[in-house]
Amino acid sequence: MADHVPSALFIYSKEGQDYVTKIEQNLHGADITSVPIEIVLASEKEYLQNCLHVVVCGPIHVIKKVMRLAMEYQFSIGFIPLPSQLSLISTYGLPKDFKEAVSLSLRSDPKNLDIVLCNDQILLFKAKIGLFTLVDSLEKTSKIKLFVNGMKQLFSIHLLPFTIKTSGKNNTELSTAACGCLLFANPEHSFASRLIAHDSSFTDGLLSMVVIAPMSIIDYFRLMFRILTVKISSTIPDSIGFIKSPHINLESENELNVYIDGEKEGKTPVDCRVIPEAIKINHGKDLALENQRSTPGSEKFITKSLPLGKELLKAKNKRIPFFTYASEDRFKDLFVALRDDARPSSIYLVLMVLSTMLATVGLAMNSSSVIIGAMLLAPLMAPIIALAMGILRMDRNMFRQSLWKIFTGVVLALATAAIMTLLSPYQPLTNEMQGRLNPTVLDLIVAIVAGIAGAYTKSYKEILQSLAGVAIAVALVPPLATAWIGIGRLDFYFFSHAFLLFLTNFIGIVLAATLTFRILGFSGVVRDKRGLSIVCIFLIAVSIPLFMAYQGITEKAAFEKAWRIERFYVNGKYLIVQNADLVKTGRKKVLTVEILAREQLGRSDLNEFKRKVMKNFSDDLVIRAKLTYIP
Amino acid sequence: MKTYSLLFIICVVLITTGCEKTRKTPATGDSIKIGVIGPMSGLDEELGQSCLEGIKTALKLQPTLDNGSPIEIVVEDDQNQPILARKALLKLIEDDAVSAVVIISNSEVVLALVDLAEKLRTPILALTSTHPDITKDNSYISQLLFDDHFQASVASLYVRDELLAERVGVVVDDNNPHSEYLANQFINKFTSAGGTCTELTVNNGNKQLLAGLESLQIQGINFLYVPLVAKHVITIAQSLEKLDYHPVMIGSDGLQAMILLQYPEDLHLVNGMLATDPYSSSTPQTGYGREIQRQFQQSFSTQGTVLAAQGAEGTSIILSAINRCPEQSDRSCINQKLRSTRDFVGLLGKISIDAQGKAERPIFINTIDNSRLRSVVKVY
Repeated sequence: MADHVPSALFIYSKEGQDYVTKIEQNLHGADITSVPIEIVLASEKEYLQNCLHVVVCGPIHVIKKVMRLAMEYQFSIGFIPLPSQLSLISTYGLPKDFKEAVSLSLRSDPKNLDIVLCNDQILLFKAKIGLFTLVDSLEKTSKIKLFVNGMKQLFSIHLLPFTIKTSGKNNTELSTAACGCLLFANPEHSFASRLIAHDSSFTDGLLSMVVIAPMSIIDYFRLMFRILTVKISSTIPDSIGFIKSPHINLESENELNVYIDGEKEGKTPVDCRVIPEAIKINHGKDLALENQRSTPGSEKFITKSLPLGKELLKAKNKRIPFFTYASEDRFKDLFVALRDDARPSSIYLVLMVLSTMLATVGLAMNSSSVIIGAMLLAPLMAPIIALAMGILRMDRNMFRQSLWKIFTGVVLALATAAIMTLLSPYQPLTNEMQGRLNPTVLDLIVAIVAGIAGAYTKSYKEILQSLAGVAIAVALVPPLATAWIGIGRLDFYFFSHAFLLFLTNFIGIVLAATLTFRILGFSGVVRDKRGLSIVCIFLIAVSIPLFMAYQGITEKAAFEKAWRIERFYVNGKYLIVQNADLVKTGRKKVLTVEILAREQLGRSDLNEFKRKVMKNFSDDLVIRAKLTYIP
Repeated sequence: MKTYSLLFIICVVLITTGCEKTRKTPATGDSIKIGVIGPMSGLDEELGQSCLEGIKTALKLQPTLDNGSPIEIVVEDDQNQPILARKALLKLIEDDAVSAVVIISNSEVVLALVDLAEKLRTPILALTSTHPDITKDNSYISQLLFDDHFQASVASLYVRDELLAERVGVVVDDNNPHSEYLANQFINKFTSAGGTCTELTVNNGNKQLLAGLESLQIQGINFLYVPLVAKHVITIAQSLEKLDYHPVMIGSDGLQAMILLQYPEDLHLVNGMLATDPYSSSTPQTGYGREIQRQFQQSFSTQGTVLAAQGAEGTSIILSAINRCPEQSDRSCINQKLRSTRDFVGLLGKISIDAQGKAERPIFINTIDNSRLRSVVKVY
């Protein structure tokens, strides 16, 4: 009995009329005076001047009226929620069971809570300005419905210019563009709570605002993915800004409707402020827990993802583009690193010489591990990535410097490998070398994927260590070394094919990295179209021999596969042929086969064998046979 | 102006040169007749009908000669009997004035035509018969398939050298020259390669056959060479079932096709059995092969067999020979062109026919897998 108030005023609307008798007959012994809201409003002072506790039941606007009166007359409030008032139940932790709700509403230990006023209207849940369907959806919304809604909005999203001012311990002003803003007292149970860590409370004296600004369709997809997949996040997504302040003022260039708790309440600008501990409410939330989760007074201004400056000029009042545009300021560190990568240095030259020496020796030794060492040591990947950025942003300086750096590296590698080969009395043709003499369109695919991976890893510090793996995947120095071993051997075929592999890797990486940087938003467009065109022309030029080589590989595979069941009946002798290997060297096609025979084969047998092979397969084959006699 | 004149002269030269190279004998408007002899009725009706479907398929793909003359086929039924085959040949040549003949009948029948073919001086292409003597002592009968010498030798050496068999049972039909030749050649080759063969005949009745097979089982022989017609192979398979004896069996060309056509309900008895054949279902087809298959499926609802394939391939080879003759009813020229067929691209690869009328083409050793023939080896 001691926990509940001895008496209370029950203010109700027609929706709460059914509860009058039940409350009046409450089990807690509280003396209830039931009065309809209209009557209370007609004689406020009469009913409220000496009132200590009010229980209210009715729609949200009735509750807000009573809350405003509570602020004025300093009485405490308890709620009897209508069954449909799920947001109220959830926000204030009210029991769904009527008896428990009555018990809570009549308790004598109300808590002081903050009240948010937006344009002088009480904000219980959230205020909305602009477009934000996905973020504002309830967590219960089905993912399919969410996805469909998201797709419907895909091509109609515009970023609208806003000026956001905050005042508190820190006074800030921000001009940005967003498709919508969401102000709330408590974001729980909406997707907004998935995008920002749960960080609000009734008692922290702060108001939260989420600004939704996907700068491209790609960003929008990422946001959708995040909403659809992530439970609660500790990091704020790229397309979201989060502001927490006791006072937020929002202005828009275009007049926009303002919705407060689902009701249209005028147009922008909107001014929202928190009145700390303005009201005493009986609620079911665990305030101790609330306070643990939130640090009172910790204002936040996380707006790095929002368009600013040049980005704002490009983005505002326009439909969002497919790819993001990002200003150089946003990726300052990356640009600094890429400029460093583009600049020739003695370290680079020394590493280039060392890696080429290692590669040359590794190729001669036919040692994969030594060659991998050379790949890891090779510093060519970095200036190639810088060259890609130079093309994308038409950064002439970065373009020239990186191209020069690559050129000097290539020449140095060539010279190193050629001199080592010329001076070496031992010039073997190893499998590692041969493996670099037949580039195909598959190598181009490897280079393109590696270019994408290279640009991607370079863009994110967290995964920069993966660049080594990329360097191995698309080894640049070993083909160079092989090419110049060819020069050292005075073998143009050797040189041209290995150098084709290097060019394939080089062009594939530049093109893929340029486009990857473009997709990641490092430039609104590919600015150096001439540079990109040249890369594309080179790509087409190298693709032709690569495609032909690929066809050759598939033909070879089909040819060799066909030989698995081939047998020959030659002059009455049965020959089992196995391990057919077709190698194309220059214009020659050399077929090497192992022949198993029970009887001794003479010249006429082998000639007949050769005739049959050439007749049934190809008449331009050079045939080499290894004979094995079965006892 | 000079440039245009020069271009004009170049064009005229190119066009006239091109015309010279592609000049063909002009069409007379008369159709070219090709005779077809085969068992269109009687016990082996299915063999003739299936092959005829292949012939018709090839003609649908190529209904006229290169000069535009239409091609007509004249079909004569010989019921796989030598006397009827001789009559049919005479009729086709004397009454119908065919330019060439394709014959679907078996080796015994074709051997009976050797003297007549020589006398009538008409090119004949044997589509299914593989007896080596068919091309012996005559200049006008050629074979589409490899001969039995090659077929039996390959089967023998495959069993000896790849399956490493030392002892083989050979079951022969003494009344069938094709079977007899294959069996003898197999035994010769196998024994000369160090193996031993035990011969059985199917002509002494089922009881004797069962006893013979039981004897092979007791001797521990695990390989059987059965160069027999479908009916006999099925009898053997049923006997082996009774004996619970499961040796590896290897048959000869066309076996699966004939079982498929004549005894489809017994096909399961030969599943897993090996057989030599000119085709395989698991080998990639040539462009020509794909076209023939497409055309066949459009034209017929029946199951395509190796016999239909032989019909199509043989007809295309005859047409190719006719097309290469300046006078397309000149039998002597057709015969000469037929016997100098070089690297004709057939359904699965190249086929040549030499001056003696013998075909050079690979042979497949297949595993029978219901209606499919899965190649185990391909021997050139």
